[in-house]
Amino acid sequence: MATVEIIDNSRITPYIFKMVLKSGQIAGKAKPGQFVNLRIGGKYYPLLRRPMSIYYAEMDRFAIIYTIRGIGTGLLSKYKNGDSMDILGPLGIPFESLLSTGVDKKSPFREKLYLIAGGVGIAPLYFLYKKSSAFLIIGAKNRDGILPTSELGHIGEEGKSQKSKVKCQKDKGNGEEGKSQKSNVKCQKEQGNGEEGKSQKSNVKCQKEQGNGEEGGEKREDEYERRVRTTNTDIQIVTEDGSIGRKGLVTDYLPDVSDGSFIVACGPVPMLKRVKEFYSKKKVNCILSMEARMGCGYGACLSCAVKTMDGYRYVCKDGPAFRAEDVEFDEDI
Amino acid sequence: MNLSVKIGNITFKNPVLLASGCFSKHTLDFTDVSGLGGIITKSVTVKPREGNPPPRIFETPCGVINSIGLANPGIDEFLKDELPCILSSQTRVIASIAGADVGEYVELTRLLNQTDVTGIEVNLSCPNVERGGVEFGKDPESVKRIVDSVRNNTSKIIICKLPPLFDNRKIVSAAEQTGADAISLINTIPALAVNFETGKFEIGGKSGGLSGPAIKPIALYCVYNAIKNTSLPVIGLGGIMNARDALEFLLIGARMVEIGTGVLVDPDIGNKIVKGIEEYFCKEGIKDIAEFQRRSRLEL
Repeated sequence: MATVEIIDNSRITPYIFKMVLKSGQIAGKAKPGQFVNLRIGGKYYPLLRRPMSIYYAEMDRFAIIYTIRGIGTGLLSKYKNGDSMDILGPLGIPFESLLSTGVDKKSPFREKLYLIAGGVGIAPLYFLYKKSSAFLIIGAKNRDGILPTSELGHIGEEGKSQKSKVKCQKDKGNGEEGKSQKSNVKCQKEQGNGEEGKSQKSNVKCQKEQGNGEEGGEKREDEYERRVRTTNTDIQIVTEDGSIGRKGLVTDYLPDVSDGSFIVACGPVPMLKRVKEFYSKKKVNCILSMEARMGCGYGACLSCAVKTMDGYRYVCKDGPAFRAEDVEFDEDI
Repeated sequence: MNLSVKIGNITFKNPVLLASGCFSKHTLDFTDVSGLGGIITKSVTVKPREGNPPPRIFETPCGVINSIGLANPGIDEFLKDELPCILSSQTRVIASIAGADVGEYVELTRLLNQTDVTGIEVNLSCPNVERGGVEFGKDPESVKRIVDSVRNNTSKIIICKLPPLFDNRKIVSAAEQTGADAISLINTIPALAVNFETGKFEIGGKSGGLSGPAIKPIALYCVYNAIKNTSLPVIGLGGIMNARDALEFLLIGARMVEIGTGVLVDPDIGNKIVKGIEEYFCKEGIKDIAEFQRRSRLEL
């Protein structure tokens, strides 16, 4: 438990806020997949701490991202630079303990780690992305839910050398890019896949392709392309309204990966359920980062139960990430 | 200054206990409990219990509704894994037990009697299946039968944990007729939350129990009534979040206090409350709790 100073708290899209906090103690220990538990406001309402995934940590600072959903996050958005907050963490088990081969940049993961984010579920995956070399697929309702270029660019500045780009071949306006690509991403429902694969080093297929070019309009498409070019990373963006990136749900574009690949997903429960279903028949390691209403955050109250093959387990102490095959979802989701 | 208090033949270094349900061996990663009066472990049952379906917790203004369903690994695992770790924490440990019938309370007591726990808190909030699911703690006969059986199987101190009854005379008197050394109250208050947008209950088990600062005035009322109706020491709990709250319970005559929901919010809250009481006594020149209670002009 520590009193932590807020260095920055600002809106980075109309929908997403980012808070940067100063704590060598927390930043020094934090690993991708872990969370902090915030005592927002310090009064009786909100009373319980609010768990937030660690978005990144380096040196003596770490960050979280959030959207305003209720009284806790509403109050969180009012904090100013120089204010301080009581924070518990880092808590939870890092992704790496479920990723048997580790996640550092030199690991054999290089072309095998795929991160699937829905909404602010991007938070822990962004941290993992920064620490590894992975494909990242970000889904949101619309462009306001997608991290801005400044954030994705930040990844680029870290010196990731990208070898491939996740995209759909027949996407309108992407044709020029295809020439210099070292990897290629194709879509299951696409026609004419025959020509593919000649000089590819990796191959990621999307489940479904929609001709978002038609709806997208030139400006949006430009914006998307600009982001991908600017960041020069393996990022695919999907929005429900097609206002940026491809149109549809992130689960419409799940990479059709090969055996031995690792999938890490974080987002709304219906998305995670779909991800589990999609990869259940494949020989891939699929990990889901779960969310549940939490009491203590460290395994005392047993509030944050999720149903698994081994009975109830707890997001705060056994998770937040679980092997997809262990998680049992309700049928009506 | 001396904050020590006695229950039965046991002296506690101060009147602050961490309540059952809000403490586990994991809490020890975030706080040093050696300066507290003691801690009460999560209710243990004979067999492992999965607990209730999620969501198990819902926040309300200044309160929390929970419905954990006594999730616990069962007494065997508790004795092997949880208890040794907690016993090494240099404070008094009281084990909370929950049974489906008298036989289970007895079995739990016998096993715990062989350990170094200081005492047993009898959780009487379990439904009595034989009597249509009424809580044991609301039925004076059940309270007598259970606590008498526990008494016959241990010489350790016994605390009888009661539900939030507005008129608790019969229950308090039943507890008094048994061999209980103290009563503790209140357990959480039955509560419900629904969401008109999703059309669902906010708690997986539909209803739950309300705790937190929202219930403190009700807890004070119930504790006050209990104190008036019994000669047994009364341990007060319900919404205590700081030393002021704790002093209010002590003022109306509670022997000790327990902190529950407050521990979820701040695992180190027990030490802060002890320090707050010490600071107040120091400032006012009060030497012990008896003097604090004597000096007040509150007519109980």
